[in-house]
Amino acid sequence: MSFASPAFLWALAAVPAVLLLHWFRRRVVERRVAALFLFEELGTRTSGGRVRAPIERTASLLLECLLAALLALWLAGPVFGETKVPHVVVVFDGSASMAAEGVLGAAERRLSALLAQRGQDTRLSVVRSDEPPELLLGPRAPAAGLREAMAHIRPVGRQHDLSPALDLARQLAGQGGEIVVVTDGPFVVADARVLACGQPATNAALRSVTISDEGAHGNLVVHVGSHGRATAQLEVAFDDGAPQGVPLTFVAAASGEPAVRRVTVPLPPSWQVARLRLDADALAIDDEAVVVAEPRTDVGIADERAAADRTVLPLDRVWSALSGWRPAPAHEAQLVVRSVPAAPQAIATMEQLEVVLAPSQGLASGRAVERRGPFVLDRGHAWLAGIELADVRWPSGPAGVPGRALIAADGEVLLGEEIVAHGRRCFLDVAGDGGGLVRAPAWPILFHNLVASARELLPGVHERSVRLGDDVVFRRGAGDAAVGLVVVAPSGARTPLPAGRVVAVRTREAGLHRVVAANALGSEQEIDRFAVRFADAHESELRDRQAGEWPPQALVAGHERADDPAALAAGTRRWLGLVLLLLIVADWWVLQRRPT
Amino acid sequence: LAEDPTNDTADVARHHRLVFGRRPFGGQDGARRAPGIGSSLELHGFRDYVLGDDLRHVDWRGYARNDQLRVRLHEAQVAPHVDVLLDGSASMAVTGPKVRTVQDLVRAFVSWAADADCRSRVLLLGGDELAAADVADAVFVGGAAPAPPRVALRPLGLRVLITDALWADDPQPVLQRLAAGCSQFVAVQVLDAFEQAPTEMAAVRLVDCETGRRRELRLDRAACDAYRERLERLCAAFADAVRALGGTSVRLTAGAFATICAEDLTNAGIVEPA
Repeated sequence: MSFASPAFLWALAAVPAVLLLHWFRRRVVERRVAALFLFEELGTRTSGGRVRAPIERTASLLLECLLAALLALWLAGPVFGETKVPHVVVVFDGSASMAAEGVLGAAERRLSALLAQRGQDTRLSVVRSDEPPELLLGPRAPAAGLREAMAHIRPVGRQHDLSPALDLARQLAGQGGEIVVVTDGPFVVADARVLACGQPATNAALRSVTISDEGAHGNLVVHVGSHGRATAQLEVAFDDGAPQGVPLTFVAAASGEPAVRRVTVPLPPSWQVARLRLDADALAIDDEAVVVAEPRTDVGIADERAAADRTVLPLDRVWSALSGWRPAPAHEAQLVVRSVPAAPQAIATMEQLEVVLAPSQGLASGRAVERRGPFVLDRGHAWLAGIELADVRWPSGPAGVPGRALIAADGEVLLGEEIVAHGRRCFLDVAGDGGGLVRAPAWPILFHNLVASARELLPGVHERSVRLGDDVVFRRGAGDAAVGLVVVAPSGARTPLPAGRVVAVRTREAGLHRVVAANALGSEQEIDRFAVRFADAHESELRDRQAGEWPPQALVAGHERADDPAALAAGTRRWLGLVLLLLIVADWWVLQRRPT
Repeated sequence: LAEDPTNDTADVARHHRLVFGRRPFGGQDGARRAPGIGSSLELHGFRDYVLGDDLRHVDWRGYARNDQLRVRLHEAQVAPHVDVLLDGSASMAVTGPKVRTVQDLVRAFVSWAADADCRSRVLLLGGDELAAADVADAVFVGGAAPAPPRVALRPLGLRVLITDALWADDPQPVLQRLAAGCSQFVAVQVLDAFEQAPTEMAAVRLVDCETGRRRELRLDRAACDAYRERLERLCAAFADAVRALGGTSVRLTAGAFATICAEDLTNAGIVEPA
């Protein structure tokens, strides 16, 4: 047996108090008599009704002692069965709006108060909701660790579903734990208590920052959203230059929707990093953004076909229509065109896209086939984006090509994809000079898509301006395979990149990140850089935030958890209360029966 | 506290009757011998005839023997009056059993008087006549000092005094006035069980039901013994005073009326089995 409030066991001191009262006979029996004169000068006159006399073992004494003992038990809240230490699992909303001014402080105060209510022995687990959720404290850590856990909360996430975090919390809570969700707005969970600590506030946010090709060197196009603010000040700085101030005035929409202003800033030549900042308001994370210029990188292309094949089916017109490529030797190229697949040992150590441009077997026998369709296309594949083959006459071999079918006609595969050891291979079944196929728009579009696909094989960061929470994909170059690479965040946090040719890192901090290579001597060399910025209109909207508390729906409906210590104590208290009431009635009845 | 007498009480009363003494009673014609000449069958004596005497009473047989006209005189027989004198002090209703016993006694004496063809009245000490059925706890509001009823008492009758006799003063004077002129005087002293024998109590606040005075004390064995000794002296003085007036007294404890009739009243010679 354990007690919900063991401090109240001090009330057991009421038992000797009852004995003392009876010892001193505080209760004087009153009796009406007919001849008081016969009692004159008899007995020892009492002093104010209190006479020290031997304790009479009356039913009233026993009942009142029992009453005092049961009253102490009732106050202490006994819980029968296995002794359980309260366990509170806190699910902290990791979305960025929780970082608004005053929210974290209010959350810590309310959590501290709740843990104090649960008792000193309370165990604590803290889960921060994110994608995926993260266990910040525990499981079942001492409640004193709350302050340290709160210091590491750093809510920077986008709007997300709390269900994964709640599922994790349910696993941690088990049968006897209590789940508490800390968020900043109305939220109801059937089996969790919700503490909302938000406060309504106005806010302005950098909605998006993009680079357009307009103008001499391009423009920086910025969208600033206002959630209740009338004015804002935007500062833009390129590299180490002085910031340019742009005053913004917003016109509030009648519907309450956020007002959005579009700002265009001309880009200077040869800029590398642009930093944007709004003046301070309730939420800081959406007031800053960093943009990194995308370096110009060309795809290396090698046409390894025999001279005769290049003469029959030239690709010069196709290459001239494309940009962002350069001729390269086969071992350095990302895209290689061949007439026959290369032997495995002939393929370079780096990844390549090999295009095998040749008719399928049987052409030598002179049995070329002109496919008129209908053509079956895998529209979901990136190579076939924008491809239209209606009315196209496709000369091909008679047997079709191997690989996963991306384009087929007459039951034969005309374009197939094959995954090989160091990349992908594209089989393109084209006979002769290509006939109507090379004169159709689909022909250059297909090679454009192939070059774009080969561009992904370039080493370095795949996309250099990403939103917070997105993954950054990094592809190691041919010489980087054995080098340890580390992502250095603006705060200085270092995240080693895992082994592998292509790796992805989840962004958890806004700002300019660097990818550095650490050598054995301890020096670092910057390999690449990328910018992470926060953008989530829902999280920037703080006007609808509010504070409140919502108990678990199970308790609201009157279905208390059978293993909840508080519920068990309440159940025991109800029975003790009933017994107390019966004892009071019995004591009253006994006293009433005493002769008067 | 007051309740109507139960059928059991009436049944108990029917199995008993009043015992009248030998002293002559007065009253209307009845079955009891009375002083003086009456019309009963009992021959009292003879006297000479005087003009106007009823010729039916002439002793014609004697006249035939000696030619003297004499008249036969018969004894008088009456039905005595029964006056039930009820102590109306508040102490008579100090407990439920006590007031119920008093009610039973009043109604039983009235019933017994009726059975003996006697006319009866219930008279409140210091007050007026009231019906037996009206005897209830509301009646007992008087003070501690007894006084004769405001209604004149009938002479040569039976007077029954129902009281607890817990009077601090000498009972002789008031008893003399209550018994004056009656042929038979009966005093029934009714006490409650606690009044007869108080129980030991560690601390008790006693409240006088008539004066409201309070006294807190411890009733130990010695105090109870001293109380009983005082009560005995008080009751003995009351009984002596009644006896000195030629009356009969009985002290009984409030309780079952059957026991009171069969033991207390019968042993005292106040009633006898019918």
